[in-house]
Amino acid sequence: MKQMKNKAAQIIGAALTGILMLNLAACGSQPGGGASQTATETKAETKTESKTEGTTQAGQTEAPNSEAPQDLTIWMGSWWEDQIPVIVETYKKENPNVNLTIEALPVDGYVDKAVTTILGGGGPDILAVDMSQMGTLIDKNLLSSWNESIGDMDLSDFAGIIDACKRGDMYYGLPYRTSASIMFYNKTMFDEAGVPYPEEGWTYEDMLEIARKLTIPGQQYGVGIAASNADPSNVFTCLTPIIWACGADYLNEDETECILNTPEAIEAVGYFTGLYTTEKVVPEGSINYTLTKDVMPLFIENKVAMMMGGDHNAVEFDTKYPDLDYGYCVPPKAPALAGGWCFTVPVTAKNPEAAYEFAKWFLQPGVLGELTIRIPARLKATEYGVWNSPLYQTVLKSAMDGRLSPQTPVWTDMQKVIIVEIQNIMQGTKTVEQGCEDMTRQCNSLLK
Amino acid sequence: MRQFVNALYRPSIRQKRARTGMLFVVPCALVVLLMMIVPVVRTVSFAFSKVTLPSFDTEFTGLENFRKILAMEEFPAVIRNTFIWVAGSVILRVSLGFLAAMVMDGQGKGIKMARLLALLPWTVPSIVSANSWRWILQGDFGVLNMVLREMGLGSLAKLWLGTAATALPTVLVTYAWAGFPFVMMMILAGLQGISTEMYESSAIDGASKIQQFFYITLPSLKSVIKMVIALEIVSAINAFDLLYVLTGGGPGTSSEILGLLIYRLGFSRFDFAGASAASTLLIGTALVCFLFYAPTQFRKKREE
Repeated sequence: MKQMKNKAAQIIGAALTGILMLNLAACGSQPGGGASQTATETKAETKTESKTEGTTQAGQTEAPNSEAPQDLTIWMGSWWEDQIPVIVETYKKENPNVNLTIEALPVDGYVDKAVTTILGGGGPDILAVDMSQMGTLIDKNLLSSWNESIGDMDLSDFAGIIDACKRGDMYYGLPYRTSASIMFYNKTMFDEAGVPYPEEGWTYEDMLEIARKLTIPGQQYGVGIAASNADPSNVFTCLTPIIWACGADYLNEDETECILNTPEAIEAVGYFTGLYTTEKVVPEGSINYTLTKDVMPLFIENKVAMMMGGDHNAVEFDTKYPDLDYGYCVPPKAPALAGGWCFTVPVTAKNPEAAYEFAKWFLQPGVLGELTIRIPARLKATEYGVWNSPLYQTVLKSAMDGRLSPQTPVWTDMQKVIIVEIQNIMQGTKTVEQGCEDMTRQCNSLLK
Repeated sequence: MRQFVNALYRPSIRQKRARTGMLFVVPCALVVLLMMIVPVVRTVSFAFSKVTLPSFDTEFTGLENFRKILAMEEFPAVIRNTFIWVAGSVILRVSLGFLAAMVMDGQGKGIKMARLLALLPWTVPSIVSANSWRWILQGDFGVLNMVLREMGLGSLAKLWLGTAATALPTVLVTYAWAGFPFVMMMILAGLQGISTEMYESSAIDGASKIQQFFYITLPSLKSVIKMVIALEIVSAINAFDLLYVLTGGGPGTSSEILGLLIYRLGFSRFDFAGASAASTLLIGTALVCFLFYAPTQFRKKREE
């Protein structure tokens, strides 16, 4: 009896071990995780469209053509969530053999998540990428070239940000969205102070003058700036137009040397930090502020009169804060900082051909104009949809004069160095000249 | 002779049972071991190599990555901040947790509800608590400063996260708030395991409450406290989210710790070799501490 019990225990043990090993093998052999498996099962079961937590499946319904079904996965920012079913539905009508899955991911940690998945051998077939990240992703060999697939495309009417998708003659993506910083102003605060609204052609001196008039220390401030390392892109949305307006730049023309210690750059950094240290026309906590988490709420609460932003801010104001009385104009003394998002194909894409086909389809002017929810990166696409409204035309005008941030692969590191030194100047541990000298030296050592 | 050999090699019932047990344990033990060892070995190997992405091809470069990390201008500040952070968080969390456990050890009415409420900070997701604290501590219109001003204590209102002097201590307080319930629970469990007879007999012998605390409570909790301190050190070294959201390491480098630096190297710069070198330094330091600590403990145990 005892022997039988032992035998039974051994058999059960072996069976359990086998199951455990099979489970582990199954987990290991499925890069990308269980989500895609669930999606496939859902498709097989329902053969209809379904939507789960920002992921929409175009079911494999009766395919009219004889091509084998193809799976295509796309990762985009979470703000696309509501539009995803429309894109999937439209694409499905034209390409019934493609099982299109578009996943909407939160922007916090978006690139980290994508890179980690790609390095693990998984990831999507198309990855939407912010322009500011392109340099690093290309430098780390994580993206495939597009040259062979876009030879037949006319790229002449793409916004200037297309340059951020290139290294030499090689394209690593195509932009679908462009943007440029615009200045928002709080009309309620301007009206209460009897200050006229800013107009096109204004300068940073004008901005400072307006900000002085609107500032009541401890109660309200003329302008909001970001200086926190927690969200570097916010800082450069505010700082870069000032750098350029003063005739300065971060790097020399061939991007081999940092030139932030020139008199023009020192003047620009002095102006930016002076808003906090001497003029005190920005909130007291600005040294640790981001635009999205701190400045924008204060703007909405009528505590900050002017803030730099993009068209996405206007969309948020209109939908969530209908009582907010605001206006917008091009930033003082352009050029503004231009940016945008582009489609890329990671080196681990399982279906690159379908990926390029989708991108080419989506980037057709008519399709892009009708389906995109942000300003399209093709001029012809602005003839469609809502893109003729005054707001978008203002952003487009700003984008036309806009410039790109440096494209060097070390730009991410440089941003951190610059912010740290700016914070040192703002808290008075360094003078403007010392800070500029130190940031230049550190950036140059990164560039080596 | 054959009988002798058979007797020698025939497994006893005990041995058979042990083998069956092994059959159950070995696969899981192997998986756990691999999951622990592989990342450490990989990290150390990256630390001495040039890593090419996306294939993770490595080329031995000796101490080059360490040289680069040690040559970073902010590195001394990062190390100093890390020591302050680890020491501060362990002291704050353990003291707060200990005090809370002593209070919660009572038998009064509503004590169970109080214990449950005290656990709340621990249950809030760190990213949620970080953003809440960010708004509470905001310099201009934050709740804390507004309350201080309302109470006529405006002189105490500060830019909590905006100056080098206050940023790290402020984040330390929020970090202690988020983690003390765990320490409280551990010590509370320890306290409830101490036999009441010990207190009764010491009381008969005339021991005061203070003497009971120092001669019964504290020695009985020694092993729990040691374990909690070890866990809190590991947790503090790995801390990242609160600091990242609240200060981003600033102003300047005043709140940058090693965990943040490793994250930046790995996931902003995608410099996995550099991140691995920094991690290896961290592992090395921990090992050195252990090598000093372990022999004294073994000696102490042998003496006991």
